[in-house]
Amino acid sequence: MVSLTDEELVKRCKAELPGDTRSYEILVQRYISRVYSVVYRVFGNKEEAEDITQEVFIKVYNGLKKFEQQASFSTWIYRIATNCALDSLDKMQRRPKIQIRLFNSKDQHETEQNDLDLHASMEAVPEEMVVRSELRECINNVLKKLDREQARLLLLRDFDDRSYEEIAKVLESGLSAVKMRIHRARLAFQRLFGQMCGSIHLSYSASTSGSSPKVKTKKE
Amino acid sequence: MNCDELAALLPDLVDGALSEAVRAEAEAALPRCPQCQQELEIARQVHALLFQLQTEHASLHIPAGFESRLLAKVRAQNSGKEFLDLSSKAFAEWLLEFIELVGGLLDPRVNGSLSPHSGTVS
Repeated sequence: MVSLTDEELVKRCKAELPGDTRSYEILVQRYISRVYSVVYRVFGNKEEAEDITQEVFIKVYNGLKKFEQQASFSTWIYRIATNCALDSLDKMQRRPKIQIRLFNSKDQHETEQNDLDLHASMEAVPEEMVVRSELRECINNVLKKLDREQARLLLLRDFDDRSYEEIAKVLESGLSAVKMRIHRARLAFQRLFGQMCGSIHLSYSASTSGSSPKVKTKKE
Repeated sequence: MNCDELAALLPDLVDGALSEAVRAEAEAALPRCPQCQQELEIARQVHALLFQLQTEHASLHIPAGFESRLLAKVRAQNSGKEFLDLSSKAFAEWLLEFIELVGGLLDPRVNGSLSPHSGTVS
């Protein structure tokens, strides 16, 4: 049964749900990491990522009976996942800010509370983590303002590091068209980022062999 | 390579996905197309900015037990719905019985003692 295609599993789900959830569970198994990954990269914390991933799979469960299969299952679920993530960004702004633990790099114990999402590397000092969290918040604000399709493309390519080929496949679009749409999305992102956050200033550290830039933002 | 041909290669230049020969040709053509040069720089910056933020999560795995928790939640939601359906059905049945009972109590033909004229008739 594990070797069945997505389409065959969807057909079985339509016949079996709600009584028998075995086919649905295989679809969950197949897609849970991919959905969690893309959602996690927007929010950067486990709790939000779990909640939203659950929301995605509940929507899939509730929608399977009506899912017409005009698009592939993967196209459909990526669309639901990116929509849930982007919708949640809107809701988050209306909620009180979430308190996330901030770890001190020396003793790795919880030392203070910060009102932003901070899961930085062990090497990062608290100031860097605050900058990083502000940067994430700013990036998420830009994502909310972007055209939904452009935000979706950036989530898949630059947040989740999906290849152009994979994105073309999941969005059922031509490869050249996807490449150019992602290019235009990056240009649109930069324009909005400039208006909302300042210019993007990248400095390359000599110790990082030039491939991993240090990112700083500079308010104009 | 003209500007249009170069523009079509910009996304691959950002991602370093071109063969060495094509990349060299594209980079040689860049100074002749300032628009492409500017767009390439912007796209590289955005890609680097967003990608840099993700490097700390490079090997991301789903938390232990998450799949089971997720399925439990879906099942709970599902059984909750069934419970709701059953409750609504039971409530509808109870309501029908109640209406019949009240109707019966108010109907003088069913219970003559409730009629205001019952005493005079007898």
